[in-house]
Amino acid sequence: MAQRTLNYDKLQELFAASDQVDEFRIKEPASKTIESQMEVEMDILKIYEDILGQDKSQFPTLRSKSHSKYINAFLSRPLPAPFTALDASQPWIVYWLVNSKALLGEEIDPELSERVGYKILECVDAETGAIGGGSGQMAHLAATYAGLLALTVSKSYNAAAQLDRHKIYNWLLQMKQPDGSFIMHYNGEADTRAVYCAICVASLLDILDDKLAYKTIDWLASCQTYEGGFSGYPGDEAHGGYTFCAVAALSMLRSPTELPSVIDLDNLISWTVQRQYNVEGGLSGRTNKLVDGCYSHWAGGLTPLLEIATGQRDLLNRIQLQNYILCCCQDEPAGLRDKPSTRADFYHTNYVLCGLSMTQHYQEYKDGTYTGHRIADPSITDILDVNQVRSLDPIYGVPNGMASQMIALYRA
Amino acid sequence: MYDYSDIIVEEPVEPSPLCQILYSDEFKHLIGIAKALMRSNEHSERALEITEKVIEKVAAHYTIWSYRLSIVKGLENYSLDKELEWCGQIALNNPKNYQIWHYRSLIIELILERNGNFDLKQEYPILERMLDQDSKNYHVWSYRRWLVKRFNLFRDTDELKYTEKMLEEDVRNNSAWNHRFFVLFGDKKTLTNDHVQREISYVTSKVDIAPTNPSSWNYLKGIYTQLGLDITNLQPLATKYSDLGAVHSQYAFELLAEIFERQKLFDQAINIYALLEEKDSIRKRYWRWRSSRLNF
Repeated sequence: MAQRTLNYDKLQELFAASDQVDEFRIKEPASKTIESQMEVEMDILKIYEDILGQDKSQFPTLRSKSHSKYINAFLSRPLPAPFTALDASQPWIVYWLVNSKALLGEEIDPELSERVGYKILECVDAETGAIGGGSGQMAHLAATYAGLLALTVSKSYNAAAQLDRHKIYNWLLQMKQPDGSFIMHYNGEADTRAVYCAICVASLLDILDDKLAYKTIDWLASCQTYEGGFSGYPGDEAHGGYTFCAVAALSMLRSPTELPSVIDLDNLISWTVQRQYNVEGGLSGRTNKLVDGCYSHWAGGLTPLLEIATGQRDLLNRIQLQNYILCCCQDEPAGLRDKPSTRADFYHTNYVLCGLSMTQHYQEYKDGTYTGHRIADPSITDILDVNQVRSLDPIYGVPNGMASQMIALYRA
Repeated sequence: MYDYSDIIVEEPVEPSPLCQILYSDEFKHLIGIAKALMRSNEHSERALEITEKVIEKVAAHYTIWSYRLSIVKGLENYSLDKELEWCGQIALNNPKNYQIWHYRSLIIELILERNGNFDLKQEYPILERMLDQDSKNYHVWSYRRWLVKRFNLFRDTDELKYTEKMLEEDVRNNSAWNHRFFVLFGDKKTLTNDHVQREISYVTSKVDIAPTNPSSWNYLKGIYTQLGLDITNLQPLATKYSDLGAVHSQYAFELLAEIFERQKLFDQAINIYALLEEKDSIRKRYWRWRSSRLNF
């Protein structure tokens, strides 16, 4: 109960400071950015006001049971026709669902594990050995990444053993571009997502070598913008998703402690902490864009890597992000969402839970592996069991330790 | 509608039950034909039509986009201008899509390959319409960046004017700021002194309009870093918006602290960081860390 007081007290601080924000902004010319920003702030302040008007004991907690029910429902029955829009993203659907389930502390039983394996192998493109968006689709780096993660989280090692690493290696080399980047698929686009997915895939399959990594660090570094974050392609705008991809990939190719030698780390930190908004407590993906729960992971997920790089903890305000997640991102009846005006979906359910996990754990980096430690300091974050989710590997986006089990399988 | 009656659609033997999508019969039919034609690598008008129908339903179907590209390449008499027009329609209906704009750039490459030239002007109406819908659409700006590089529009007057128009409408459009930065500095060529001064006055005037706008402060600092200029020159501007008794902005405070750091006036920098800890309390620990890093 003491900790619910902490969330409440901190929210009260946030709420009390919120009127400062508008002191000068409202005198500036009206524009779309300001209008939509103020609309979101008003929605959220209303929610915060209601919560602060209730007893501290009523402070929202993670409704794990409802969220689990939501996830399990979709893991046990077919998806209705509107999901046709995700026909080319089927491994993603499986990853989002099983990873959310795992983060919520639920076990993935052998039967589900087998079904995941069957599903992912069905998506394998026979020609290249890599994974596509669905059966009969061309191999795609993001699908291969999501498919491998789904196997990793559900410990579908039998299925994983059937992947042809040699073929996948050759395919990765074909996706590799002379400038160091990767394209998503034949005739596909090159961007930092593709690079992150390629490096993760190669690393999980234990096939990462100098040839695959050639010039990739330089290419990623060239995606850092004048704002400090990273873009999808050199010259584009700094963006949360791409920044996570770039920084996680660089941390794999080197280590987070070596980041200062390849990028402007101070500018990256400055951009990252500016993603957190004073009124909402949540994070946006770009300068002057709206808060969105998924950036709790894409931008917030940079925090452990930046903490390791600098040796300084809590560069991001964990408790206020947690307040945004608990108060604004839980949909009725279940699932997690972008912001109060939106509905829950699988993507947001997973990445909001990833972000929540970050707010509850520190990561220790030793000999190339990460270990999560639940934060025990009640002045930093809650230590309420009811909100607890599993600790998340800051690179792969699966619970700590699972990726190394997968790598060990291929190494054996 | 073309005749597809000769096509034999293969059904997956035993589709995996996990997360199986309950497709409409219509979609099953379309995708079945598309995949069958793709397997036989047919480049025909009817193949083109079937890809169009699938993409209209699932714009993210990258396999079908890729097949479509090979069909278009194979049909030498098919009008590529028509293809661009069709692409535009799909884009308007699918603003958040990774395939369309990349595909568009490949079609333009094909036009260049065949005709030796491409009239850039025909690209502007669709970009205009897209950015009217969403002035910060990442894919569209990324495509515009590609155009700048491909057609060497660095420091192009019209391109700069376009960003000015966008910033006139919304000075917080960070995508427009970012694009402007690329147009000016993306090819790493040096600007004349005069041009640099004009750009600094431009962004300063935008700071004056909206001193709490992070985009313009970031842009200003970006120019200084890019050109290796001395940020202590920005002291008057930073001071102007660090007056607690008047309009002030956390970005001005931050810049002022950085200027003090550069001047080795650490006590003054620490005072500013202490102020930021209080005024921008969500980043309290961050500001404290910045302060703690100063060496005496």
